[in-house]
Amino acid sequence: MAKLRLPTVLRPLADGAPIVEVEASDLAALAAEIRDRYPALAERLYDADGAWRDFVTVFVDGEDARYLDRAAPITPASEVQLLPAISGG
Amino acid sequence: MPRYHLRCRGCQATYPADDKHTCPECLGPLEVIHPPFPSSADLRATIERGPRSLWRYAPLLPIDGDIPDEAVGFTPLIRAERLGRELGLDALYLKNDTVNPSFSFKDRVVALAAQKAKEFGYDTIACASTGNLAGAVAAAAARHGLRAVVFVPSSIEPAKIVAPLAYGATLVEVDGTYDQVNRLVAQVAEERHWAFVNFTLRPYYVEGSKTLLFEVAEQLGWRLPDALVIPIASGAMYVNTGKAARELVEHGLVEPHRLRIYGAQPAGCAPVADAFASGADRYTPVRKPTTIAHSLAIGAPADGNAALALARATDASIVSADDDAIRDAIGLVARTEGVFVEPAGGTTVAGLVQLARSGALARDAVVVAYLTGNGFKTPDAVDVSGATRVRIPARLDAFEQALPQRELVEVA
Repeated sequence: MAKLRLPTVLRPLADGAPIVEVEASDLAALAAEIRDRYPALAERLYDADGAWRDFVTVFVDGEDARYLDRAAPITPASEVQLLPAISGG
Repeated sequence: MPRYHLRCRGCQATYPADDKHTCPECLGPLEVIHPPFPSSADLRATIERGPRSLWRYAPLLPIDGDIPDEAVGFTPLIRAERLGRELGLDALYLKNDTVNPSFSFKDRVVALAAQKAKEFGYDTIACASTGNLAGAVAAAAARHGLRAVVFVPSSIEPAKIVAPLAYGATLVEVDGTYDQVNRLVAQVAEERHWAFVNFTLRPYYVEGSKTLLFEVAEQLGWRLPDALVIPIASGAMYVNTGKAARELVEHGLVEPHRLRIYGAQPAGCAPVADAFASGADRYTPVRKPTTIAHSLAIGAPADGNAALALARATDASIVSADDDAIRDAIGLVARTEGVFVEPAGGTTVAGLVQLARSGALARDAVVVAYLTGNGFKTPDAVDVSGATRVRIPARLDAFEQALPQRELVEVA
């Protein structure tokens, strides 16, 4: 199963776990799975239209999800990383 | 109790001024909010009695401990008459921030962050850097007796690799772009209890950027200029310059004044300038920057969208310059004003040239350009092929032959 890695600030919304295993096979399915299993987390991540909220940063196997469409595949070996708004610079 | 607090730039939720950097409600970035001072006359006098460093503005900064004795900031504001004549600007000034302790404006932001790291009890400061920040973090760590771990793209200029090592930092060279380094550090910051100055201490770190405009206002006799020209990498300095202008007015230190804040980016990595030109509200990240201005090569700038909004709100613009224009500008400001800048400074001056020649800057406008990094760190970026240079044996006749005297000088 793919791994969903959570930042500290979001871990309380997923029973405190830093990493959650997910069955989703693409980004759209991931949204549905998070909504189903962790509704409070989904609330923080997605807006009413299902888009990532402004300050959520998502990487799928190191690729910025801003470059990917919702059908982008997630394999059992994938790692999806959630981060707060990336600062730096 | 500190007189300042943290506020989310997204949902506006407020928090006490601790080492939190992300809003737990919406994951937005937090910023420091300072309530206005009751008496601007007392405040101005306190500042003017202060040290000749950025710490003279301590009452306007989020600091609780003792003020460090360090010569960061309060850099010269140069009246640039010769460059101004070339550009048709009668009141042009250059803020020469190339002369900070580690030779870039990053010493300002790190001064704030290192102080807060000590206040919060950290023993290690760290950063993701395009080069200048790594040097500034390493130097500050040495001054404060802290440990430094700095992450940089392996492709940056050699001098920017050597400096942090000389200051005693642990250097992590990452094969990838700055944005990839940034992402890695965002992950590491979740795992290590280190003070990542531009991540975990970012609300305080960015406050250091404001001191440039505080100084400019004081050096102009407590007034705001008509226009600023500023380089944009992450956009943090640009956005916090807008915040500084608002705070100067709110604290009663300057009269309200229409200040246009122009931005400059290298064409090889100009996500914000491109979005400005196309009228977009949000920038499109640049995946593979290609520019000699490595210190501005951030393809996904954290404050890029906020910078776009600020440029439009101040009726200014964000322009871009290609590498040839950047090299020309480095030469121009070196020849006319005797200041040797790195390509980020060249980008700013190239932007200034563009804005002056297009008529965006009025001849009588008080214009200030920020020169943020020193050219001695990036000598390979300079084109000196057209300069006069001879190599001769140590004999007078060889010299006379190489540089013949064109006219006889009559001695009275």
